[in-house]
Amino acid sequence: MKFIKNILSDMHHGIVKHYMLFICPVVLATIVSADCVKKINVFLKFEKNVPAENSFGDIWFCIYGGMEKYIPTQDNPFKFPVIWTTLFVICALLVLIYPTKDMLGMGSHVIVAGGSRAKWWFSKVIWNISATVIYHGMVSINIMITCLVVGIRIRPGLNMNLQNSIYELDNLNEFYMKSTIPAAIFILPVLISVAMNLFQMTLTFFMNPNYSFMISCFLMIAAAYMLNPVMIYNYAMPLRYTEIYSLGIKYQYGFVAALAIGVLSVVIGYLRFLKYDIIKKEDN
Amino acid sequence: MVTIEVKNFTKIIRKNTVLENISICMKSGTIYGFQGINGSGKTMLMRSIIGLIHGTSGSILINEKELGKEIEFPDSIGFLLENPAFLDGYSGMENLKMLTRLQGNLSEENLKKLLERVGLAGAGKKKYKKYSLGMKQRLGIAAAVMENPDILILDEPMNALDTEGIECVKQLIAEQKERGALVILSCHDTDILIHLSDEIFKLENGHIKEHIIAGGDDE
Repeated sequence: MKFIKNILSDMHHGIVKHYMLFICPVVLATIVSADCVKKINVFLKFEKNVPAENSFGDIWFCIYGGMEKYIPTQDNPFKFPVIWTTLFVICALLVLIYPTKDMLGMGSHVIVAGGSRAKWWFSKVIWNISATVIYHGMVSINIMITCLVVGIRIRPGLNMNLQNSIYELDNLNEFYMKSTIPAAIFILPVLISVAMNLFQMTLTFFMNPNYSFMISCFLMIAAAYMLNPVMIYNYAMPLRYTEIYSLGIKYQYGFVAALAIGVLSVVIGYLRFLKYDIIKKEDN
Repeated sequence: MVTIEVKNFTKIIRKNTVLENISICMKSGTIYGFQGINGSGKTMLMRSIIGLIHGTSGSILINEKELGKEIEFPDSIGFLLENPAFLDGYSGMENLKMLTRLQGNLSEENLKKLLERVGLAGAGKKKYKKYSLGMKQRLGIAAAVMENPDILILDEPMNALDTEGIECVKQLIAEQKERGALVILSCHDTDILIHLSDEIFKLENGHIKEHIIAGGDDE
């Protein structure tokens, strides 16, 4: 019962009371969706001979697509995917402060009243997962609303000609040219985000939360720079899946990686928190 | 009846010994005063008894159960650690309600009485962020005593309080002792500490320098 109360308290204080923060994904998705619709219109105007059925999947890709593999050459400077990075950075930032802030002051009363460190930690895990899913859910709902408003079909299709004109892609795998995208591809970036946010939360027990956030940002940029399965955020960039990019990575492995990182983060965080001194840094 | 037994308790943080070989026995219905300058280890010892800090060596037993091994936190404890911190966007009443929901669920009527008791009768609906330092302190004290805990830990409860507030807290502490609580108190004002405490532990650089029993001999 106390655990349920802990969770409800976290949902209330970590999400409901911070509802303003959840406006960020709405604003971001609105701006990018509008821009994408504009690009679609330009595309339709100039590419009249190309089959052009656009859908929810196209706008979703504009936000979540990420970038193709970066090949460093003299005339190809590295440009990180601004929209994709902003999306994941805001999400990581959103779940950064609350757990550490909630551990001190009033939070220490909550931990003691809960009677168990495990309850507090698992409540924070559930909160973290929920906040991340709500964040990405709001982006998707916003895209759906955009589709409804401008009359684009809400189906998981992908118009590769359109994507090609937006991203100027090379090495395209044209399998999905006229096909629908599996639901798994829509889910994986969210799962990676959940796993990495849990990882970030666990890191805050080992270092200052600002540093753990910087590590998250570094991992995002490193993944954008380097197409490598070890760089976990690659699995959050659908443009790098073999289904889209023939030299890319198999997205199926991303589920295993997300699960492994998520579970390990939760277990390590739990073991660490059992022995963690709940104390202000300046008291040390 | 509750007992706290601190046995050879040592805490080292980043090679800095903040508590060294502390051994104390405490029991219900008694007020224990912790005295010492800033950094002497009072707050660390209090945090350790609450269960927020784990010792490097030694043990703390609450009713003969080892803290951190057999139990994570004492069953019934209320505390105020230095500066109280509540949720800014909530009123004093809402903050107490939130805490009591997790602990025992006191009625709104009881919470109102408690707020009156600590001198916050008219400020229950005011947002916490608009509270003065003294009001925050009073709310912190209310939160500590509201569930009538078996163990009450008050770290500098007189901070930022006016004369009337100090009298109110002194009376509250005496009442807690009367009903059988084990009270641990720290206070920079030696006169108040001597007046309230049955036993005083003087801490210096993480050691217990002196143990004074009211009306008795020094140890």
